[in-house]
Amino acid sequence: MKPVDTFGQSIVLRGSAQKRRRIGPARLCEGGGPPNLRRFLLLAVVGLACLAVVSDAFAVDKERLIRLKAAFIFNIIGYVRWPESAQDNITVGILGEDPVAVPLRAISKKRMVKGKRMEVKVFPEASGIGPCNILFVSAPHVAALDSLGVQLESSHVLLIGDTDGLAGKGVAVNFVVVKERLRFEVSLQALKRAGLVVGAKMLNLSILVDEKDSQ
Amino acid sequence: MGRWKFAAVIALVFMSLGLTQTHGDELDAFLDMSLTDLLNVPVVTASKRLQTLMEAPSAISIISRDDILQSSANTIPELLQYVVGMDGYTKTHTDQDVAARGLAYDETPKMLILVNSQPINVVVYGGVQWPTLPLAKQDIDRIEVVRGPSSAMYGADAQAGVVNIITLPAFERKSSASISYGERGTQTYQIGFAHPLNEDFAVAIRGRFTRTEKKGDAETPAAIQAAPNYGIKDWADIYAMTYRLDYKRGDTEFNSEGGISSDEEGYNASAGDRSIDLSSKRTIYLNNRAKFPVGRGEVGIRLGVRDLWQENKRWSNGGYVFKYELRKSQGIDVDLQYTLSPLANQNIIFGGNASRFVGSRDIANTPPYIYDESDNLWSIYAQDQVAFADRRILLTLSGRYDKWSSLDGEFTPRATLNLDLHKKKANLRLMAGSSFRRPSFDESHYFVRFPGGWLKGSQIDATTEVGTLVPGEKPDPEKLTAYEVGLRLHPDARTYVDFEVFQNTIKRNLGLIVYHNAPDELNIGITNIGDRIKLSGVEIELKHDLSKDTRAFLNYTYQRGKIKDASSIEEKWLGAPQAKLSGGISYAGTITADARFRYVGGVTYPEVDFEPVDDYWTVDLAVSKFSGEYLHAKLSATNALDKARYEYPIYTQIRRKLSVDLRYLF
Repeated sequence: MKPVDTFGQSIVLRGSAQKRRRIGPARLCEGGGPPNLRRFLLLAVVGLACLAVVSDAFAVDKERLIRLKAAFIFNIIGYVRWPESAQDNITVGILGEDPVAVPLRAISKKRMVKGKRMEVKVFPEASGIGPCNILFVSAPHVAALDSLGVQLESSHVLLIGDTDGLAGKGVAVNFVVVKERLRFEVSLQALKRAGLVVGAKMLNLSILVDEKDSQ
Repeated sequence: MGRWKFAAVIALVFMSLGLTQTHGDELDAFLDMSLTDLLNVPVVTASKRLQTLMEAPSAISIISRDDILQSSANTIPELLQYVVGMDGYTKTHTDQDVAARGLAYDETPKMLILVNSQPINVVVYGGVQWPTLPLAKQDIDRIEVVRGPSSAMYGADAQAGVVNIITLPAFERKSSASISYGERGTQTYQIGFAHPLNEDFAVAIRGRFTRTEKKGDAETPAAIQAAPNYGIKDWADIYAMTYRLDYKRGDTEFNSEGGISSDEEGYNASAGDRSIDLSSKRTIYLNNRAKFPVGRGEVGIRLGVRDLWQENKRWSNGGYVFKYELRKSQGIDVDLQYTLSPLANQNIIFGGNASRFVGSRDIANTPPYIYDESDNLWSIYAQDQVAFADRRILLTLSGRYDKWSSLDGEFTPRATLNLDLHKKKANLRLMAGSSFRRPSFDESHYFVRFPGGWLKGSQIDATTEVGTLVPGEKPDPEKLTAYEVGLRLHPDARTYVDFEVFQNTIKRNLGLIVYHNAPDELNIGITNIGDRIKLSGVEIELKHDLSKDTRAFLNYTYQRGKIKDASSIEEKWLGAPQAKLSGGISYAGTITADARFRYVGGVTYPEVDFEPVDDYWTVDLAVSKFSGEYLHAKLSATNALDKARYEYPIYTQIRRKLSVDLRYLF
């Protein structure tokens, strides 16, 4: 005896299949799942509410920090408006051999931003800086900004750094670690000098730094 | 539901990175975050790029975009067959199934399949019409596979696990045209356009025609009569169109995605049956999502729709027999979710869902039988992850309550403890939880007469051939309780190893019961039967980067089970391969090459009284290269050595499929 076409699929029932089935309906007891498990979970939830405030200090993970900086740079691009440009790419330059280049290159291969390709260029020395929309200045090359900062800003380059106090010295965006989280400082004066407009949402999330304070 | 259960759900007010922790690569996870999210990421001591996998509360595997594009797989089930712990089969070219941990071969599949969190399981019976999904491989970013009970976050149908297909945003897609041609008339033609309208808004559309194999010459009644020994003829012509819109400004995102497919297919069985089915199907899915910051967290809203219509016509021994129809299988889902990290060591998700399901079948009985049913669902869920001791201990608790208008409510909890054993290079995971599967409309309301008998759904009244009334009754959801132990090792940046041991117990199993059986009479039905199914197994997965261009993987799955009925008679569970070994190597340099093998052993299907499927192994190969910047060529061979096999008895025999694919980007 062969019923067919149940549930959109053919089934064939013969003796071997029936061996596993009792004749006549039967039911297991109600209530799926072990009751002790559920009670335990309820107690655990209450306990968690008490323990959740306990927190140990965390050591900074440098590799995660690098990836985060790259992700921040990628995200920040979405909030910045440059003067009209016919370029198809958004170029992120890195001054110095900084490890942030690695995740930035990975991002440029798999993501586009604002409908444009992202291009990553590393400039080993300040003298070799080429055209770019963003320049990440690694710590060893901060001093070069003294001579090149004005020139870069006039080219509408968004300067980004990760050295303490850099926003107060004229860099538009500077990464800092505050309470185990990566934050970014923003200098409105630096943005204005570079002729760049930044979205209000990003400014609301930033730490605004007044350049006068650092002098 | 008792008050204590409701209180437990409300008490679960913390959010987890559970969803985002499913990203395989930490950088990818960061890129998917908003600026607000990034500000909440703790800069803590962590291992390298697989940190999120190491701490994931579930057994999870990620199929990356590279895997999807480089492998020779033509369909998503073919990709999933290489994932550790996953079983799958091809019955016909449009009838494929996948499930996790020994639950693949039952009447109703037990995996929840999502496209960007939108369920696409067919409402009426719970399976997925995989090849007719209007989804192109080029538009998929990654596939996340969670093995194990997942109802605590995803509700019903996530009994054995979840597959979430994440598609590329329109900003990331490229315009392209492609042609693929292969053995036995396999063809695919597609064209897609993707265009960012401005900095914040992008659109993409794609149209595709796929022929799985050349139409058999026995698809007409006359040919059936004339062909004495025709074997399996199995073909499908599928037309599909998809679209995607994306809007993103700052932390606010909106996207709308959808597709429609129309399918004509034919199947002729041999083995003495001499029957032929011709089917027409139409599949639609829509998914709209928005995400925006609120307070210290983020709100996500989703509205999705799925719809399938199907009509089958059958001929047998040259004569037209009948037509039957899946008239309606529709679901509409609304989700609302809030995510936040209130403390440095804590992440919380909580949310709610409302759904409506409609199903209708016209079954070829005499007289015809039609059912037309609907049901509503509402649910609330929460997940909390808390870290202790410098993130060496992670505790994740989740729970969900689902209530249908036609059935009792169901509460499912899950708890996971992750312990860092050695400087983020070894992570021990202990999990206990439950999940469930709601009886489908078919399981409750189906009724078909055949010569000398009938098969009925659980809620149907019927009388046996000897005059006994079998009353209908409301079925209970099928409940699964699981315990898992996992050990993940990440000894260096290039190596990842995962050992998993699991035990699943299913109670209130929905299955077939025989009410009356005589030589020419058979009355059977679906109900909660007195069976307890116990499944256990081991999964081992190894991934290693041999060089910056070359990756390799190897995985082994062993599973076994027992089924015990109410009278304590115990038998071996016949429902999944006992062992599976898979491996592969991929090279992505000037050319891209992908080679994989898979061995599957010890498969028997409980509902089919034929010999077990023979143990089989297969080798799948693909080579591709860019010529210039815009032209891409690929040569693929699935079952390259042409070792013919059945993955499901008497249906389609899987042979080699050699194909060439040319794609032009513009």
